Amino acid sequence: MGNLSVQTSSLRQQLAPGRHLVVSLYQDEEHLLDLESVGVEQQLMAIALTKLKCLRDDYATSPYLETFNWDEVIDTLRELTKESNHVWKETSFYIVAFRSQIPPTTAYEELSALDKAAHAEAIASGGFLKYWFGLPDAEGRNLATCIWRSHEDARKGGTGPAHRKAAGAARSFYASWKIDQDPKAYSRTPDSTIIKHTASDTMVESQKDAPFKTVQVEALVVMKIVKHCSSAFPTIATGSIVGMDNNGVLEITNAFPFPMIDVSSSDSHQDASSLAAAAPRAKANIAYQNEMIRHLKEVNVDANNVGWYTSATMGNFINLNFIENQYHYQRDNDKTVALVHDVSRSSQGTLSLRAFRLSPEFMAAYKEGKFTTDSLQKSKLSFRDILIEVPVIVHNSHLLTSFLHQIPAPPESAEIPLPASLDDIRRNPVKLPAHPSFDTLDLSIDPFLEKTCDLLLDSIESHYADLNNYQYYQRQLAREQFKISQWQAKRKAENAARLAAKQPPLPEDEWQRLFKLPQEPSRLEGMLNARQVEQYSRQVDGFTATITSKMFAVRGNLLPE
Amino acid sequence: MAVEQEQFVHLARPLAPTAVGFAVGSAPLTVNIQPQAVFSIIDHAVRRDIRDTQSTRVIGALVGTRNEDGSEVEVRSTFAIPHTENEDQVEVDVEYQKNMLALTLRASPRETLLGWYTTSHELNSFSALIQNFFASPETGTFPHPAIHLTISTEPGAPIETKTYISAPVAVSPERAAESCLFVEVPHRILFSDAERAALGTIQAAANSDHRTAPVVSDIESLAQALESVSDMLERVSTYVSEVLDEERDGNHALGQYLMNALSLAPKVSETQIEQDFNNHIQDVLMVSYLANTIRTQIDLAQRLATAPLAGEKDLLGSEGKGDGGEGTSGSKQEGGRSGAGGSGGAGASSGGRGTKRAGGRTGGGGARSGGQQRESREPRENGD
Repeated sequence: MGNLSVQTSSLRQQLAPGRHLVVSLYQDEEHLLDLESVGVEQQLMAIALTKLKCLRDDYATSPYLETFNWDEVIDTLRELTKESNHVWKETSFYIVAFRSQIPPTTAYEELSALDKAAHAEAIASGGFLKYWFGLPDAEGRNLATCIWRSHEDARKGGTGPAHRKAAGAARSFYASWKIDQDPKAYSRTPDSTIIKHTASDTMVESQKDAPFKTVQVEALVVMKIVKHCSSAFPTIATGSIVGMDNNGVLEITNAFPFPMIDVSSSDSHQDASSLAAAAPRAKANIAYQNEMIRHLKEVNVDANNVGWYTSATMGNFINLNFIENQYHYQRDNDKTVALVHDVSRSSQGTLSLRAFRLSPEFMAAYKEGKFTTDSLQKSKLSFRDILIEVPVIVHNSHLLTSFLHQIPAPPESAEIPLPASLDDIRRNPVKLPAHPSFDTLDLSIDPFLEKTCDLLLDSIESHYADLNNYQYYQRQLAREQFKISQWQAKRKAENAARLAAKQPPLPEDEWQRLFKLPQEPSRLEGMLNARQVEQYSRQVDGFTATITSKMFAVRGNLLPE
Repeated sequence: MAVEQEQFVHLARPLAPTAVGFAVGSAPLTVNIQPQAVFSIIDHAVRRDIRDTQSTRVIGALVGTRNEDGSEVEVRSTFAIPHTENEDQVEVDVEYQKNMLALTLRASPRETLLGWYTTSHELNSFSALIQNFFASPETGTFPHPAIHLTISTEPGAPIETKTYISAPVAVSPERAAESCLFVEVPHRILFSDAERAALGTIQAAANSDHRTAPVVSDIESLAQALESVSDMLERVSTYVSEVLDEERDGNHALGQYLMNALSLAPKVSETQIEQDFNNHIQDVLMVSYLANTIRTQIDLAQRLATAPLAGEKDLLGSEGKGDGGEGTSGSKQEGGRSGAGGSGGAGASSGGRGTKRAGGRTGGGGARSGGQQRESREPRENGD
């Protein structure tokens, strides 16, 4: 910085002595912006941005445009442009405003270290013009902002491992955080500068509609879930999953089971089962989950909870427990999912792993906690809108692919050595590949039909229980209303008599205090039951499709035309 | 389904110092490894930190079950342990190992610590040091031997697994801590039936270029299986016709095998088959029909429950003030729900619901003043 004393008073040299520019509070070499790596407009902007100052103390919550001295920055930019005799082309920049709130207990140093690493990485990826961040206020709220050459650069800068790690940490550290991505076109020409501030909140909202489109499950997670669910069968097994969302794909990279419910301490089998089903939102398990994730973070596993998994038998998982669990997760983090592994259906040869989340409309309704006829009529919420299914794909790492090719696969070469005797074949049986699985060719259908009928009967029963509840409520209501109208008639007659006797009438709305109308039972149970039945019938449809084709194949084989 | 790794004769295991009262058998030890354990080691190897540690390998603990006499162990899961390693020292996060083990065992109390793994085949003095840590009475598996599993994760080379147990050996007492004798024991990777379906999907992903595969529906996987069976049949029949045409030499064993397989086809009368077929197909279609009927009925019930019926609008409009706001909304709900009750009753076609249905009808249609109608309903309900 010694060349300030050089006689030239060029603004550019004053601000940026040399090729590398300090663009943030970090001043190490790897945190400096190489001016040669960007175009002239960006160079000038980056230099002008060194003047960026925060104007307000309440920057964590104040409107973005009023927070910084943009006027001064633009003036500087204008002067710089004039000085360098550059003809300014219309240029847009991309601004990210990161608003966060950390609980007061957070180790801020750890966060800073992560932040620093992520910054160095972003600088290396190029096009990062300015980084500014404040200090958390009394309530732990903070603002950080980045200015990028383009959206493209911002996206690229955010894909490296350090950013991933920092983002993961953000989720485990922060009480709440929110990224406003302002696709702000900015600086048309230095003379007619416009900073457009489109409503950033609407953008956040629109992203919320579909936080992710597919769920990508690592093979490890599939195996862990399958193992846990099948070993716990027939009790329900639940566990937590961790991962990261990436451009509309929710990557699930690890899973761990929740602690077993001690069956001996609970009274009956039924209790154990319901306890297991409620496990994901039990207090002890939340603590367990946080502890586990903290440990996993130390060995570079994605430290970000993305939901939970549960086992099911023939698709019987849609119940209040399921909804409550998923609500519990989705309330805190929108990008969470419930993975359902159907043990019974998987035993028929095809892996049944499905991902569900609650629809935003249902989330809103559940938050209200009101499922009365009125509210349902108003919100137009039907049982079909409760759950959204997300397609699941399975993903392998390279190393795993390499390993998988060593376990039974179809013979590589067309010519295989012929066996010398029958015993050779028996001793060394052909190893069937796992894919496609020939278990699907199994012809047994009776157990399946039986189970389906059982489940359907259960559904009908709960439908009737629901119905009876409602009818009971209606009778109660009718009785109360009958009493009310009797009372009203009596009061009317009384008033008429008093009017005739020239006395002031008694108030007619006292019945509201005297009688209490019964509470309308929640409609949620009925809705869930309807959704459950729908699921069963779809399942049966699928089963009918496969089994009829198999049956006709068998008949065609045994009874040639 | 078991995958034997390699064939070798396993004579006896080394005699380790035993605890009093604990009869350690000298029977051979077999190690069964479940695939998810291997998968998670591989995952750990992929996620290793290449920046701040010099070591190319990672280590972790093996957790699983052991049978009563300890002659067979099953590795069910693993967890990673952070460690740093350089020329002359190795550091293992013992505290982390302890906590993580406690956490893992809380989720699966029947399992125990079995040993440790690393991702290179190299056995050196650090290996011995760690092995002794895992085999020691306080922190390890004593009196059972600690299992050491090595997996090679070199890119481009086949992934090999080896398992060892150890015996204490030392040139001098002070070096006892960092030396031991590794003895290789046989092991196999065991797939249980429950995992077969999952493995099928994972295998499908392994065969594709993107290393991903969607979870397919039943009918799709049936189609894939049928296609592959028909390919195989095609292949066998080509082979047989080639032999018949004397284009290639027949093979007795294969011929015999095919004969045996074909003779397994059941001999049943045509009428029997026809009858069985019809019975079964009718069962299936019946259940499918019932399921769909129930779905429709419940769907209808749900719709009726929340649908504003035409009559109720009049009620809301004209007589809304009749007996206070509460009253109207009450009778409206009642109307909707009774309609639902009626449809539900029809769906299950149970006889005793007739009266209720009638009640429902009047409730649903009756949109005039509630009073008398309700009175007329009460006795019926009670008589039900």
